[in-house]
Amino acid sequence: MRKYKVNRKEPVKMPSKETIEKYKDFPRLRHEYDSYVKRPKKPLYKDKKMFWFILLILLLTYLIVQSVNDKKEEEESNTKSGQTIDGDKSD
Amino acid sequence: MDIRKWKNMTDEQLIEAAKQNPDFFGGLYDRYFEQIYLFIFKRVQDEAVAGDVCQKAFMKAMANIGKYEDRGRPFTAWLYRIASNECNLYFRSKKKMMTVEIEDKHVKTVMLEIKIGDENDQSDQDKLMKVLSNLQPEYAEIVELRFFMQYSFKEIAEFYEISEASAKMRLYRILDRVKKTWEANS
Repeated sequence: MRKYKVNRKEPVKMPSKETIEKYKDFPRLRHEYDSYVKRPKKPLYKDKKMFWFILLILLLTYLIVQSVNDKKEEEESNTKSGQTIDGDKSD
Repeated sequence: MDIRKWKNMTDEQLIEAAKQNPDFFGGLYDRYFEQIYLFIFKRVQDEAVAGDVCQKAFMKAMANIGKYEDRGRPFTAWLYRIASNECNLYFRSKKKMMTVEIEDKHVKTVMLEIKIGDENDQSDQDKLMKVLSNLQPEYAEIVELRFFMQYSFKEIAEFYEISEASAKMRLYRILDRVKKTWEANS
């Protein structure tokens, strides 16, 4: 919101050229720009959605690896038991 | 970056160069700093604050120069929009009501233009200020630009990125609204 007031005193003095030059500082702006552009990005895990997504992927990977291992173990035990049965028969 | 290189470059050339290398933005900064600083100063009416807000406005312009598209309007129009937004952000962040002090000679000009009240009567002047303060900010802004900041219609048109005829029409519609509100309150 704006509020307008009549200035019946002396008119507002405009800043002089020297004053304006005082605030004109391109090297500072350039420096601020560099730090703005190169600011460190937020790590992925600090993003809430990304955190849950990463966790879900890790969990799924763990479950897949686990089930693959279980299958392998099952197969190995099956072949072992098959071998012993065969051995018994030959005896 | 050698400043002599900027001097002979047009705005368009500087903008294209700044999109590739931010150092070239210095040319635009050098060219338009004073203009934008004064625009902000007229709103915030404080030298140091104007310096700070101006730096922020140029920072935004520099960071977004890649998105700038030349639509045939002057580059300053784009800068003015950013500066205006930065002023609004400043007042919002300070939770301040934006108080604009206007010289009485400018108030008289508005009164003569709309043909309301007695321009030398202080209570009539205050009444007009009340009407303007109750206007929607976007309506008040154009009145402010024309009468209090002494912008030409060409400059207003550049500011809003509209034609001069549209700027005139927009202003006179708002002045008509001011007149009607004034008359309703009398």
